[in-house]
Amino acid sequence: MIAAGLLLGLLPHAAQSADELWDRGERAAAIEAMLAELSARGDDAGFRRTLVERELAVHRYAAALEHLEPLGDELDAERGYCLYRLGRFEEAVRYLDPTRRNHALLIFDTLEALGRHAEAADALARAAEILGADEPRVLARVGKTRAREGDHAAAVKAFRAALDADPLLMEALFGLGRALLRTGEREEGLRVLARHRALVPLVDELDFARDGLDLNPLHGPNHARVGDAERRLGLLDRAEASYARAAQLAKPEEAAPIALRHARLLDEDRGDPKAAVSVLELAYHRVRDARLAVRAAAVLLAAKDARGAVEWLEEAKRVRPNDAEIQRRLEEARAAVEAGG
Amino acid sequence: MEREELNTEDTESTEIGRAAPWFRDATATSGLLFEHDAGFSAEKHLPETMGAGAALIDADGDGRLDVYFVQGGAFPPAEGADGNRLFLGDGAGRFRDATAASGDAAHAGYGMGVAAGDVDGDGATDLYVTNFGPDVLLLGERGGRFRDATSAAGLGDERWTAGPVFFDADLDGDLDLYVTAYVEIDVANPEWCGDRAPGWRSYCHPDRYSGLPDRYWRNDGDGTFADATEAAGLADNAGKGLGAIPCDPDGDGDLDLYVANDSVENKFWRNDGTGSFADDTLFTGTGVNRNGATEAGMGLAVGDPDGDGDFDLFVTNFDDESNTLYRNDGDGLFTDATIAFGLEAPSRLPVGFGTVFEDFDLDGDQDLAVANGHIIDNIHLYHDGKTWKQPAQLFVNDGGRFRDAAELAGALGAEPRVGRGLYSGDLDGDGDPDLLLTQCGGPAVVLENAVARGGARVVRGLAPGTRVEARTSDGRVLVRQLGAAVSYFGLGESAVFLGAGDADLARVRVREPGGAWRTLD
Repeated sequence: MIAAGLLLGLLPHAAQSADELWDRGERAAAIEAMLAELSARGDDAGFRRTLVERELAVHRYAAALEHLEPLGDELDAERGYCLYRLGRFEEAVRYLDPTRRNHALLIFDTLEALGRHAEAADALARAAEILGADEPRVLARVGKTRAREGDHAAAVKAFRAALDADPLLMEALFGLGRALLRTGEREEGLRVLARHRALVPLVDELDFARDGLDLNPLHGPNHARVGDAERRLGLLDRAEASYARAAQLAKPEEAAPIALRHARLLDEDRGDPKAAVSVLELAYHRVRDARLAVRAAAVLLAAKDARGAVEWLEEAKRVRPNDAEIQRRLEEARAAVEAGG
Repeated sequence: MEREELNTEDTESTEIGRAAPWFRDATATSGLLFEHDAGFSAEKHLPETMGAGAALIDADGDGRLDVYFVQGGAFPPAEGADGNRLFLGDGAGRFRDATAASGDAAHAGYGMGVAAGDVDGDGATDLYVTNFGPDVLLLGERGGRFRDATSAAGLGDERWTAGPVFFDADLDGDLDLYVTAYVEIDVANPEWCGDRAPGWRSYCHPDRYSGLPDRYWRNDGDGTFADATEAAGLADNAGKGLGAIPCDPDGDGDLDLYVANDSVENKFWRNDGTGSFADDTLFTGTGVNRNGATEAGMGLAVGDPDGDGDFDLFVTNFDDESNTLYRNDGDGLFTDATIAFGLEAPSRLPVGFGTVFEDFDLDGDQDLAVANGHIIDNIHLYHDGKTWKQPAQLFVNDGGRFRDAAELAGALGAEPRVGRGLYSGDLDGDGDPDLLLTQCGGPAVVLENAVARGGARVVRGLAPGTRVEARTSDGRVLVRQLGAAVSYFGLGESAVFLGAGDADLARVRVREPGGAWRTLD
């Protein structure tokens, strides 16, 4: 009993340690710390649930499924998700929760993958009730179902509606192109498919960047990569938010490249040089990287603010006094000032 | 293979009914003892995950099937590697290592894939080997010897090339060459992918790298090849290519080309009959899956699994994707019919590589086999439901829908392996199709067909891409493509194995590319 008491006395500290590791983004270490405690905390359902949540976050589905075992059926949805990710589709559909927003379409997709189309149709109807019949992913699945049934005109209608709500929904764009070809609308179909072809690499890049966040969501450059992909897709608000988050999380050596990309968006896409220079200035105060000063000067020079450019290049020269390129640019900027810029 | 013993076992298998396994491990008795050296390094260079291929050929012209294995070696590539190996067969399932007498077939590069065919029309089988580094053309001579003719033929590619294939693209009677190229990597400065913790370094995803353009080499008929990629309309192809398969889905008598690309769009090139190609990917719908998503195209097969008389396309892919079967709808359009064929769910977790459409039980429809194996050796750290070694799969064709028949796969799926190539051919000369599976960093496996017990009508000796049609006494028309069975990085036997189950084969006719139909005796 004494030993147990001592052990229990240690537990809050150990748990806190795992939490700290988790919060620092050291996810694997955090889980290892929790596993070390598991036998002592065997009856602590809350602890076990947290462990499962964290295992799911780092794709440890087999372990999560095992750790779910003593827990009740209120966690069947998690069981279902684990089974889905482990490729055990027949079992997964028994556990996925049709009332959950994030499971509604998963059930449809799983039943479709199993070729159980009649049940899939029911699942899609339930998904429409939960998510809304005008939700683009629901509409895209309606389109795919109609196409599979051979009703390509209805498929076109559903895919168009999906794209009205989300123009970057690739499955709807591709489905629309194919359905148009089937209805004899060859030119439009090929045009839509060409747009799909152009967008796919960009969407893939975004998906790939997002995957990086799964394993380390506290790594600044991971967020910046997401921002890059969002920017290329024209999702500027989202890209800005990603760059801002990246800057918050960046280590000193990571700050400059992130700010340079953020500034490029603000200057080139938003047409807002002032905001671009603000981002560069903020980062410069943190890391005093000459590249930031040089970029700020370039932005200001392009915006006809030669005096501002000179100030930034003089700042850059203080950081890199022997840099010939900075000197050359500084002379050019001064000449622009003298010329009345 | 021990024929007497096998016959005894076959009798026992018959007694226990239909559950007898279709494949038996005959590696040890075959003498095909080859172990691939991937050169796994601490730096986790991506080429270490890819190889390697093999080809089932008649290397010495004796009419018996031989096997050529492509070898890897240390990575980065270094002098003194083992080199590729040639095994000559006795036509009854036994092979001997004949590499020492094979001349330049013992080529030592860091090998990837191999194509085979008679490119100079002298009756001997020639080889083209792709490497991480300079490729080689090996011309066959008498007695299983080969001579490096790369420079003399005007060939030469020092990039990271992958899946090669010979076919007569321009219908001028000689074999042209298409070679996919993969990605550009910096060997001197390998990227670090994955966690920095010890043991967690991982192979990088190909999305990290730029794709390299494929090349099409036109055979000029005088022993030389010319880079005709642009002239043939094939220039827009920088797609991280792993394989290309010639085929004639539109039945117009020439060979179109389907290219599997890793993580970017696959390509369908339609041939106008003169060796001039047009990108018909968008119209055919074969570039992406039914969700409009790119997949990691690896292995390729062409067949008629639904028995409707035209060729469908099958491509193997990465995990969390399915393998994809594009059904030929007969009007120039294809439909991703993976679900309808029953192949979606069973292929979502494995990483598929080599694949073969083959009528293993000779009942008149084509079954399907897939070699699986992850590219990331420590994938279990990142997803604990995934493994590096994975069992191969046998899908039995039940009336145009496949069933994952793990219980029948026998030695094919008995143990997890790092599967790469999978090639079909009659390795033991008994008249039915066996399988050869190659592994990345592991031994090749010979899988003897234990279900058919011979008896196929075998069609051989025709040009790659020949269309074979057989009418059966119960009214079916069996349609097969002979040759160019590239699978992944290699080549199965250039043969078609025809069976009709309880029915008889009434008539067999063939049409070589650009040729006319003729009936076989």
